[in-house]
Amino acid sequence: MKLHVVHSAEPASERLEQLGDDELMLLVKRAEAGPRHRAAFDVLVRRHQRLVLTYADRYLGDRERALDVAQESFVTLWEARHDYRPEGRFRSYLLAIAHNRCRERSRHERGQQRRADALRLQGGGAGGEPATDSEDAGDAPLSALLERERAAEVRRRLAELDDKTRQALVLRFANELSYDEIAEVTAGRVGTLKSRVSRGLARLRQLLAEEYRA
Amino acid sequence: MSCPETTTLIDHVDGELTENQRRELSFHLEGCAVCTSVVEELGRISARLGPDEDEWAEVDLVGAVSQRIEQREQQPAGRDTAKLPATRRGRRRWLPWTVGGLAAAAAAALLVVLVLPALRQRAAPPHTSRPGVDPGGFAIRGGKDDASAARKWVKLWIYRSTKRGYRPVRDRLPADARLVFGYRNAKAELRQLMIVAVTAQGQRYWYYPAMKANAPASSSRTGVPIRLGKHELPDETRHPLPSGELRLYALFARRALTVGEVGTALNRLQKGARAATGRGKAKAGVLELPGVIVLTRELQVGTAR
Repeated sequence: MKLHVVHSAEPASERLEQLGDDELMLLVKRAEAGPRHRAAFDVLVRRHQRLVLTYADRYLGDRERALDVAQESFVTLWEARHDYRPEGRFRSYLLAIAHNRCRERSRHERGQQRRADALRLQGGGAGGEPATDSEDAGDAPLSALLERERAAEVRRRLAELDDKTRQALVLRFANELSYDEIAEVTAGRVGTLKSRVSRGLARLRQLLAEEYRA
Repeated sequence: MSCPETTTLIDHVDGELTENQRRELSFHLEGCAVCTSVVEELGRISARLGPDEDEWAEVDLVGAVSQRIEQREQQPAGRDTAKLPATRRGRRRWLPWTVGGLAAAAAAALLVVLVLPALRQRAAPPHTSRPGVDPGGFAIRGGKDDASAARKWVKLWIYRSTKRGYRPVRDRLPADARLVFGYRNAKAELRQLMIVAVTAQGQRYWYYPAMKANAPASSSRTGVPIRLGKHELPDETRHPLPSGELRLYALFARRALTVGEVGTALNRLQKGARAATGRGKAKAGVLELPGVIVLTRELQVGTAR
């Protein structure tokens, strides 16, 4: 009896960029075999980092935390590489990881905030003003600065929406995913997701209007 | 035309209106400053959520991610499956995919087999202590009520490699199919897995662990270690299969069985089946072996659907 074990031809490193996500993941799963497979993972990170960073930034409303969570998302992808199945778009899988990480971070921070608030109440200490972004205004024109501030306000308000609505809005408008793709990420139905986006956008408009009136 | 609902305006901003609806709304917007204002406002909100062109232009996460991975791998902590996407973790269909690893497969090189008909197993209650049953463990016996118990513990997925990726194997496969496997194990005691295919003529093809050309001594123990949860086996294996019926056996065992145990069990089964059918065809029978669950799949070798 003769056994044939098939070795997939490994592409040269310089050709990794030309491979699809699933092919790269195939190589990533062979990471124990050598540094070449880490190179495949690096290609995936570079290819999708903007997607994950944008998602995390809009969901969390904070650039620094987004950078941290995006890194964690890729680490999770690496650690779970053997569980990956190419049964949908790779980026849907990655965004689902990113969402879990964001949600986890968000919950953790809410818990910390509650504990801090409780301590302040017990101690009678002053809460103080929350830290503000110290973005360097530089020499940007006034109109650009105003637009940046308005965008920041919309993104801050986004944090007031519930998790699922926020997720749907970010995937739709920040990541510019189709509803089919959003359904893959969230395991939801397209019709439900459309309603969610519609309601979310309406709610966001309402929140911003309240703010301007105040 | 009266002013449309806000949801219609949102659908317009979201690009979800049909061509006719869009035309109709555009006509309305030309004469309605209020709706135009709402649409513009919604458009600005969605745009402000949108990606900024150079937002992450200077960021490269590769170095930082590599550093975290290295740090994490130096820690003894287990894997954090809670952070995997739940949407895929719980799906029925999961695709194991291969990866060569001939060295590991060839080194493991051996086979093992025990045979039991598909889904005719049963778990003995814990602490059973009768002959043939592992005390404190479970035994596999015949009986149609056993199927659900076995299914709760183990499952096997079979896929074949194609140019377009991996496709599930249902009941047919081509003769030169490269097969890959995935399993689910929900019983901690099950620690070894073996997969073998047997043709109608009794030829055996060992898929996991891979069979060496020179079979080891019958006293050698073999098996591929398995873990709890869903996992894939790392090899993509091809045998030159003859056309016709093929029965694939997956043995989930608590210990690595010896080649002799498996071979004897399989021989006995085939011999019994031949005697029963009188047509020389292998047919699965019941083999009681403590601590082993065997799942089988009937396949037809030929042109895959």
